[in-house]
Amino acid sequence: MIEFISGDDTADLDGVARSAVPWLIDSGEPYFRRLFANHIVEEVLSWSLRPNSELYLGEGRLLLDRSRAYIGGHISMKGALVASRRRADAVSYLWEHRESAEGERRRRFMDDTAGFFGVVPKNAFYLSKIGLLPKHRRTGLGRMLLEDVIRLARAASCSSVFLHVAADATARQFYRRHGFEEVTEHRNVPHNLHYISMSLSVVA
Amino acid sequence: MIHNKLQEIFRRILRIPDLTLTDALTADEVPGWDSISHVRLMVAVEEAFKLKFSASQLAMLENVGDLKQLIRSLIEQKEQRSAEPRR
Repeated sequence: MIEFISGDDTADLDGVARSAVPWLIDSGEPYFRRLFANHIVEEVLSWSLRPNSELYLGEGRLLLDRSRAYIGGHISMKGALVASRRRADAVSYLWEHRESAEGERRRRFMDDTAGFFGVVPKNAFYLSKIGLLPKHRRTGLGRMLLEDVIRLARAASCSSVFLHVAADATARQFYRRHGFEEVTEHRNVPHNLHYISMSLSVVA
Repeated sequence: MIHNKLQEIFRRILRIPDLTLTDALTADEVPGWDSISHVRLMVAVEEAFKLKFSASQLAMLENVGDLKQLIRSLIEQKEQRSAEPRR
């Protein structure tokens, strides 16, 4: 049967992260492709294995199919945690290579991308990444993923699930179909970002 | 004294001449202490105390108290290594 497993209950997080890359890089949020462009696979993989990262899969939820293959999952957390995780990600990104020309390039990059990420309400439950491997999309499993997010949001005493989605992502329709409301449209012109904040009330 | 040396580094890098460090102090509470400043701070601390931090050690730091603890333990490790007899 199809079931969830928490990231830190898996035996081989490294292997799981590699298998998760296709949905991690494709999940409809507006940021990581913009930030990392050609390096997105290696950066997402490295962040997904780093314990205090926004993308840490150890704190994610993974979906297993009947043959115990990993087919998708989500990474979500209390809104209050997002800012410190993003800061930790930025510091890790800058710390590596800090003494080389690459380090200097990364510092300039961070300066250029100041103000890149949108604000996350502290008392909402933030859905950072969600997705399925391509052959499992459009099979009703997306709803199962969302239901797991909602369950976790309620367990964390959050009254809503909140997310950012690229304005042109197909995921936007998916969220609307499942009851998310569009809260704000954001245009971040310096960073060429156009995305929507969406929110779903989960008060029982 | 680790505390005073650290305070001097923070004041200089963050350009806040009257900044008072406490063990509970976090980046959230200090204007200008963003990720780039944080890296500059840690580089300056490495130089001042002649230590090397790994990325995972930095990742565990939640406040100034944690940083002081890390500095203390790395200094102790260094002193122990230099006290070991050569083979």
